[in-house]
Amino acid sequence: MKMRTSSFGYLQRNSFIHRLNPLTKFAVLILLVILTVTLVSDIVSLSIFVFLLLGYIGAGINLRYAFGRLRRLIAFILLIAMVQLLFTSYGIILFYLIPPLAPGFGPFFPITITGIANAINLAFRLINIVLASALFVAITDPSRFVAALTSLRIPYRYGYTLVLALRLVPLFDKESNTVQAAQRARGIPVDQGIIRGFLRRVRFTFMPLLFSALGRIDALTLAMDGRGFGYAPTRTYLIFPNFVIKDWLIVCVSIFLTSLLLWYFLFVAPLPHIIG
Amino acid sequence: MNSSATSYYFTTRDLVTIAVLSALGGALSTFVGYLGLLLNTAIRTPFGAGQFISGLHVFWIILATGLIRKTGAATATGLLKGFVEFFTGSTHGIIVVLVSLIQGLIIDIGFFVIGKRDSLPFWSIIAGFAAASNVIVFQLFFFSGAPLIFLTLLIILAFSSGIIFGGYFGHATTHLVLESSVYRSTVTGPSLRSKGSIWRRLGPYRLSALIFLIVIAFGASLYAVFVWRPVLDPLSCEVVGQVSQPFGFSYFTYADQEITIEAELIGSVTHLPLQNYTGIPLVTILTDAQPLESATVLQVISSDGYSATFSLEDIFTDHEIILVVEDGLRLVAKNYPGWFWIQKVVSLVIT
Repeated sequence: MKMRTSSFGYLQRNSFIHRLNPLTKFAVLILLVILTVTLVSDIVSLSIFVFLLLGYIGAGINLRYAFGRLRRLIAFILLIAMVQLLFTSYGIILFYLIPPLAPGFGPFFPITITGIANAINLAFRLINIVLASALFVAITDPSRFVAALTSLRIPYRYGYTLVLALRLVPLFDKESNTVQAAQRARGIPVDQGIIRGFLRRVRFTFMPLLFSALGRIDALTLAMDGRGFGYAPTRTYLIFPNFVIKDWLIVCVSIFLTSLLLWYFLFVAPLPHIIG
Repeated sequence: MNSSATSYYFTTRDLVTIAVLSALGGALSTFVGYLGLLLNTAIRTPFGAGQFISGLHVFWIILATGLIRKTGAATATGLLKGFVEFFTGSTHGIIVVLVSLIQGLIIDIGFFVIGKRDSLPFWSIIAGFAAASNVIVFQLFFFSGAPLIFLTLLIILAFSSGIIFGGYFGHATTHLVLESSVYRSTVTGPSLRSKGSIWRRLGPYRLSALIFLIVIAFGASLYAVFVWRPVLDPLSCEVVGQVSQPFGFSYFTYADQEITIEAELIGSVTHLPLQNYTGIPLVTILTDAQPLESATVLQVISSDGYSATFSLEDIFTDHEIILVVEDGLRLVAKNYPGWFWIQKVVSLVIT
């Protein structure tokens, strides 16, 4: 099946996960983040990681999409792991990164089992949060998410602001490219010199784009007011994502499982670890 | 017809302004990331310089606040910008919503304090704090246990960036926009360009509130970075300082050495009657750490920074000081008053 992609991360499919209410998916995302942040254990992290990969497969999303997201984060993941490896001084010392250089000088940077465990745990924390977020974005149509928010009694005027902003992003994205192309066509050397290039980019891309965008505000406001935006306290939707029994079931089971895991691992038994 | 201008706190125009600036912030976030890479290349470091442009993320919130001038505009812009970045595939996932929301909240609180005043120094300080807050949030999630110098450096970088790009650049751009015909200002009350000394215009109450805000924010930053210890595993603790074998342990490492004692907590406020406590004798753990001969003092530190100091000699002769499992690790010191019974113990420092 050919993948249909919107301007954002949403990948349109007809899977069971896609058909869930956006609020259900958001609740599961928040619960997963809570679990990831609270239960710091390599086994728990690995389990959540596998659960998320199954989520991608269940939603009919190619795993390359998930790993593509992570590729952009490699530097940050390495930074997190390095900080833990280099600066966790307690735990069983395996070796020193810098051996003694002279009597009384060194060794430095002990690499400990606890450091390795912390590095793996915190790197996995980032990976799991990013994968869970990317999965949510891939299976949730932002417009449906905003419509679902109104069932939480969030006024539609505010919800619509998010829809409006998301609709403007591709427009501004395109306009940003146009502005940069126009500057290049005029022979403005925005690529010359790192600091100078940086300042030129800010001056010659930010400003024209900002003023062009601000110039749309009055026209947009007039158009919205002209269509009676905000006239009534509520609005109707062509397609409204109802919260049905399967959504209640998933939310209740997720809350129950999360609470059970938190209670068990925080108050009853120690967190299982492979390392550390 | 629509009566949004009178019926709603945020008019349609305000909401469109918030949406446009959030969309711009979202659309340009990739571009901002690219600028960060450029700076990293310039100073020949793989990471870190990105914090120096963190002020550009705050810039949009400052601009929205400067144009709309209503309490809540910054929070709304921060939240919306966070969601735009989240839905457009931010590399940090859902955390970016929290980061952006907190930045908006800080700016709103700051502007609530200074009111509709046009003060570059105050705008810059507010933007600095907002930009620096991203380091604190990321520290809470991803940099537990990172060295203080590393975090301090990032906070200083982000704060400076906030001052330059959020405060100075944001202030100048707000003026530029308001002076142009491109955006019709609906700001009421004191003019953005009103004359007079900043200090006179600020007034004593707001000045006090501003100082209070700065002290609280500074204190909170210091607390988060230097004092508060994130708990990775509430039942684990470290033994460090003047010992031959510094190490970290989990309660369950010593579970087979549990003893039960009978103790009564007599504190200045709390009093718990005589009851049984089961836990690990502190002396067992300290023996494994092998304190150096020069060590004399044991400091027991809690996750919130609270600590109590014991004589090491007393500890080694008192077998009724134990660590028990009670909402993390709790020290039960039978022969000591209540303020020595520390909760959420994370560190044993021998000096």
